[in-house]
Amino acid sequence: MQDIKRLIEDSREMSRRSFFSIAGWGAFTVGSAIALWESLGPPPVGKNGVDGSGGFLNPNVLYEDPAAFKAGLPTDYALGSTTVLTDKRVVINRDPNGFYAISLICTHLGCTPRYFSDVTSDLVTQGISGIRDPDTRQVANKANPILPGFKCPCHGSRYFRDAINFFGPAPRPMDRVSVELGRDGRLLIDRSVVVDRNFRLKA
Amino acid sequence: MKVLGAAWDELYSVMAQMVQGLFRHGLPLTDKIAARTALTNFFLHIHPVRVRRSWIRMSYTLCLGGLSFFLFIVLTVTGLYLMFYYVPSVEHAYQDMYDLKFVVTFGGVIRNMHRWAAHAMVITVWLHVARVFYTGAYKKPREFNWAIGTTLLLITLLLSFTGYLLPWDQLSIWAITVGTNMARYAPIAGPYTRYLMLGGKVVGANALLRFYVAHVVGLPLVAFLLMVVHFWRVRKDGFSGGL
Amino acid sequence: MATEARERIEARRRLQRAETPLAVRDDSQDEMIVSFPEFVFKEFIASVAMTVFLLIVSIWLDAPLLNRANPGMTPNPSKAPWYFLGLQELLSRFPPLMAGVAFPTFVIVLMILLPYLDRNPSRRPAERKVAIILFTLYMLIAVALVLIGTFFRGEAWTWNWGLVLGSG
Repeated sequence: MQDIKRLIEDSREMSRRSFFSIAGWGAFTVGSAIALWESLGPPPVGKNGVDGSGGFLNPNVLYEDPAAFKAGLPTDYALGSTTVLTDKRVVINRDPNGFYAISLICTHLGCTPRYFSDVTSDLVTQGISGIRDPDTRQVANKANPILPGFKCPCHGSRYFRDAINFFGPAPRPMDRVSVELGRDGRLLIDRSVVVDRNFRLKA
Repeated sequence: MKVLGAAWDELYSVMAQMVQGLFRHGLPLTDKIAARTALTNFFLHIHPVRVRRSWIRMSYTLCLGGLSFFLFIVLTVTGLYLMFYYVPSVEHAYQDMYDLKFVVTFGGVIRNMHRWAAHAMVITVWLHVARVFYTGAYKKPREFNWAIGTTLLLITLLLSFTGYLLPWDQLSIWAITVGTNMARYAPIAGPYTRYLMLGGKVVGANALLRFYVAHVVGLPLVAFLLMVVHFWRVRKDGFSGGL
Repeated sequence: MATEARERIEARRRLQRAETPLAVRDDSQDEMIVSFPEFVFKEFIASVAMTVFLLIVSIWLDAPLLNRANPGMTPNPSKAPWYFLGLQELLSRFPPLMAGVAFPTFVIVLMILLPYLDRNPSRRPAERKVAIILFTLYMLIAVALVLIGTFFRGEAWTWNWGLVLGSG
């Protein structure tokens, strides 16, 4: 309380000139802060893609490849197959219990992993044990060293065929994205919708 | 004959006046004229008029700071040349690399020079930092200039990084994908920073244009301003020689 | 550290008593020369040498250019420019928040604050052993990481002697 009283007394003594000087600098600082915010303000990216508007340097409209696309008829994919759609950075797996799609973007730093029919045997030879897929319960060991999957060329992360990471710096499995059956009977894939790991499209 | 002689004298005096207007002093044959040259010439003004021999010993400076600045000039000139043929768009950028190599006279050499000078500048700037450290030249009263120097090292690396995307080849796109994804891991502002850097969610047309603008205008301008301050402070804080 | 502290105290004391100089040699009596043309000439020679060197290298060595950018296909192995390979090596070993954000920020801040952390006023190498050893260690680690990234990392960023020792 004492301090506030003193501040008021002091401000009474403040000359008109220094008051205007402080007010001027204050206005300049606030104005600059607003200008900075308007130019660099947070991007307009919400949960459903782009909505609202961001600062000048954050584009509100993107002319990037649309997230959703069609990927042919279900019959185009053999049972147990893994198909890499290179242009779209998506993998479509067809298992006995259905389809699921993987967004082929390494969860470490965003490179595109590559599919190999064997991503485990060299690790087994080096004596690394405990390579086990928690979902399919497949195990790579001396008796059965070869499992298919993905290797990332940038920092050496490895994933099983079902996108679950088991080696290298990747922090989590690659995202599974939505697969639906379109009205024309073709697969409709939306890369912007991440789905649960147990998701399967029965077809 | 007399007329010709008079005309010649007139021409000579006009030319002499031009030269005097340009230089304001004679040839630097004596120390006094040389000192006046350094004092009045804008471009030489970067140096003090008189220096101690020990300050500029090659075995002390190794010429590293000067070479870094010279490489910056080389990069500005070759970069300017490249700008005449390079279009920062996804359709043209990669094709322009081939044009430079096979169609433009000396285009390949200019591009190579730009690239190798950039590598050389990273090396000389690093060695300059090491030299300043080992001679203890960053100590009082040069603390602030050391901070500017560190920032200049950072800007050199950023210039290199932004230039890396411009040829739009496989090397470019993946180095920038990895680099910008690193920014995404920064707490809170990470994803925002990446969106801001790329102007979108993937390394595409917007990212190419943004990196181009930063590479040819934004960062060089900041680097130039900081260099001016850096050189000014070298003179005002005193040369560090005498080790 | 103890030696460094003792040396620092000794150097400060000398600074107060204004005895022997903090640098190896006192330069206040050195010959003064006019910077133009002698100094300028040295700089000129250095820049001409650099230009010639760059020209020769640029004529003989082409700047690398891979295939056109393709977001769907990462080349294998995929490497950053050499001066970032140390960072890439760290990224392949530690979580990205640490290797990609925290660690570089820490190094930059440390470098800017260096004159305030190393408060030993002496510039004699013999009196700043700890500082010199630490910095040399830092440089050696940086160079080693770059060399590892350049020469010992092959496909999918696995360790590979082959690039150095011939086909491996």
